[in-house]
Amino acid sequence: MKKNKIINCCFIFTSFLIMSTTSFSQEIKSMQYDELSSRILVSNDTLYVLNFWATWCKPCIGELPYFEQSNKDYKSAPVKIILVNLDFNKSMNSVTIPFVQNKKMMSEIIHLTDTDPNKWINKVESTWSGALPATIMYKNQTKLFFKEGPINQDELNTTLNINLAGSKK
Amino acid sequence: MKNYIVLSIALAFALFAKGAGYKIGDSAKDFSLKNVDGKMVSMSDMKAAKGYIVIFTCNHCPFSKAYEERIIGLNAKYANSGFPVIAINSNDVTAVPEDSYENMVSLANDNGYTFPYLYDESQAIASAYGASRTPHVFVLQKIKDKLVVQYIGAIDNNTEEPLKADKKYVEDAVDALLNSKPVVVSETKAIGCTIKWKSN
Repeated sequence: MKKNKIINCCFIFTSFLIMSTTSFSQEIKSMQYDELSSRILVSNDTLYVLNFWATWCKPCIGELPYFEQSNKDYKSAPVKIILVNLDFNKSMNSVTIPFVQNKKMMSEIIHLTDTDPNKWINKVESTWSGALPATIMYKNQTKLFFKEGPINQDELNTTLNINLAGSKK
Repeated sequence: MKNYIVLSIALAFALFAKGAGYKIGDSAKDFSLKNVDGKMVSMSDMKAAKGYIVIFTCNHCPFSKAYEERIIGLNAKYANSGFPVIAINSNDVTAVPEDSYENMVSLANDNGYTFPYLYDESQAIASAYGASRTPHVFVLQKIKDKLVVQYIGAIDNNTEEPLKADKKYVEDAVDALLNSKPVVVSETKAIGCTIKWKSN
């Protein structure tokens, strides 16, 4: 009886471990914009797609599934989708992490810790007012696309396809 | 060739639409908008003012909420010296029901707003000014019969932690104007909620 209980416990524990590794969402990395930019402004054929979002931004939440979908659909293409989160630093544990886990988000998520947006918004794009959402694409250190405001699945895929042209598969 | 022409025209329109709104030095238009007390308010009503701190804000946005105390503080600090705060909500209520006029009234009452909180229902003022997010500040100075735009941007450089904000852009701009000096930092950017435009 006791042995059974132990085996049972082990089974539950193992299943939990398996579940957490397979269905668990992305971990959120925190960094400053300069570190992020050094990661995306590189000389290679990868198309880097940054989507600036926050949990408090309604249109951002609306378009996150499109980025998640493209992240799946373009798995074999040289595309790197990064969802750049701009929630307050203090709400990471209480709001952002539970949100990401709840939605089981699988794209890479980076939380920007910079407190002074006036310092980095212009580095991203001089025409960006700072309103969310905003999407930007880079390849080979060149900015290929910028949009302030929501994007839909068609526009995202079309833009991905256009900017992927010329990349080695 | 024809395609290029069509494309160029489309591009020109896109640029024009994007470039709409005020720049530093432009003359801003006055408005007549409904205040939370039910009365219509225009800048020209405040005859003694030397200028105005016009802040596009709203009820629901976490950034507006984070800055609420500081907005009240700006009016407390500058209304008497001639630069009163005028807050304007331009959000489409269909998109964000929380930004309704009724909620504006309760917010202003609950938090003791000492300045007008106006409802830009048609969104014409946000559109004319080129406000894109909340909060988005326009500091205007009366020069003769004109309202000259002297500062556009954020209130300060730290939304989350007011005590750590070491650049108080709006205060610096108004202080400069009160001392007849040029505004050093006249434009700043900030993260904020988008103004929710009506879909038509």
